[in-house]
Amino acid sequence: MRLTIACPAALRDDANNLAMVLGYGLGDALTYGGLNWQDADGNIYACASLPVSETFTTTAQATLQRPSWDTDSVISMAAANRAQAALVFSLEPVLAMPDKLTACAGDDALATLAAMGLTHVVVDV
Amino acid sequence: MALKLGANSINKLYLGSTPINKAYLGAGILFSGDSFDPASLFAASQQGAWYNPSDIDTLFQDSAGTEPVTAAGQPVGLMLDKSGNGNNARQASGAARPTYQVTPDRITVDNVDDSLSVTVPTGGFTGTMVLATDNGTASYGVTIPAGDYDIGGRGGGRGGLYFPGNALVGQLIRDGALSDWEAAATEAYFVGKGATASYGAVTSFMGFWWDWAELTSFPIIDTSSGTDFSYAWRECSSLTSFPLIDTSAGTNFSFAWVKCSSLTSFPLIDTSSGTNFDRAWVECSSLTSFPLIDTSSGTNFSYAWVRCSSLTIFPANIFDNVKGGEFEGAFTSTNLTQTSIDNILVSLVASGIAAGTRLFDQSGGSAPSVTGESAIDTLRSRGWTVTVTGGY
Repeated sequence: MRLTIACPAALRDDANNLAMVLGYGLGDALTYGGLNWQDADGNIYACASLPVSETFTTTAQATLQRPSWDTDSVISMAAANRAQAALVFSLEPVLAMPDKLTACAGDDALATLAAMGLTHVVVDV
Repeated sequence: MALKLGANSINKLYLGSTPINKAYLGAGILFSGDSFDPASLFAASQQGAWYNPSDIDTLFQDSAGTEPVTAAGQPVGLMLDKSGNGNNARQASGAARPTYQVTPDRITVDNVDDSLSVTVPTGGFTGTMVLATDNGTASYGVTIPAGDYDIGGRGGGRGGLYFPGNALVGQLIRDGALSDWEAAATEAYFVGKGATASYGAVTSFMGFWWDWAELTSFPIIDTSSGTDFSYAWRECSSLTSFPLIDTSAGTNFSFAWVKCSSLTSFPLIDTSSGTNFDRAWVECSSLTSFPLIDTSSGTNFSYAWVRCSSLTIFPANIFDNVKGGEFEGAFTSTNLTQTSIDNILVSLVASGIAAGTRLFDQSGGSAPSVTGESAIDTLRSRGWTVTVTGGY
């Protein structure tokens, strides 16, 4: 299953902490980068898309544990928990919400983003 | 079976200029282009990189290279360079790792955040890049500076990542240009691994090479099916020329060559089907003249040549048969000669575009002559709002 996730600007730091908890390591701190997507109301988002296991959604909503690699406590577990509280999963595309981490299933990431009401932020020329 | 000419084995076989990947005698393979080994392109210690997802031993799920890729659907966090230069491509972020797929062997990218990154060594690469995808295969001239360089999705500063396809079947970059036959043989090699040879079936080239500032030359590829060329070469800022590709089916050219700031000339491409030229050549600041393209289907030319600050020569009659009148900002901050601005205004009159709220703007360059001023009078009588250099 592929999940495509829209992260509003205000949640980006929190979401990157959650990504480190659920992911592989320090590199996952860069999961949500450029605020390159916007909804119809002009809210901007950083987006990520990745294939996940069937158990991912369960894992992502379970009590978070600091991963064993984080011996230096790089991760802010408080931030990760805030992001987890904002998580919304859907098997069908729903509109991205500016106060939620909206994760939708869909094989085609770009099509899913479009169905979530998001378009590229295009710098005016 | 090897094909021989006398005692010499034939390594390359062409039909005209097209490399032949396989030749059969009955059911038997008489010649196989697979005998070409891209490693030979680095035999003299040339710098560069060669990525070949068909060699699964070069793929790892993690960026540290501890967990090999063993099956389709697994992420690719590290792809080893087969050129012998150790320019391996990595992705530290789990969410941004491409996915390994088979039949053909390839790494798929989601065009949202997937890419690998290679650290180009000091001195950079100036040469040729052969890029083989599920949409097509082509060879480009490139100058890639030292530092991080994306493999797979590129650009991405403005939403999504741009890539001419959805999967990478092979990529080779060599510091030092490949000869034509070396490039053709490399393309054939990747096609033999499952890459699509031609872009001929692609209808939408939207954003394919957006932000690929490393491209110094663009090949003549088959774009004959392309209808949407919007954003295709936006900010390809190192291209100095553009080839005469087939754009005869193209309807949407909006933003296509924005900020191709090194283009010194533009070819007479077939734009006869083009309706939307909105901002097509914005800030092509090295263009000094423009060809007499076919605008007969055009309806939107808003800001099409804005900030083409060196543009002085514009042909007569270019808008004679135009269908629509969206010209707001089209010639703002240009450097048109008096003859050129006269040409434009007279042509707009000739087009006979119906009255309505029409805008035309010019700034920079020369003011129109009495010929142009007469044309302005006519346009204003038809409802146009016209602003030109000199304030007439």
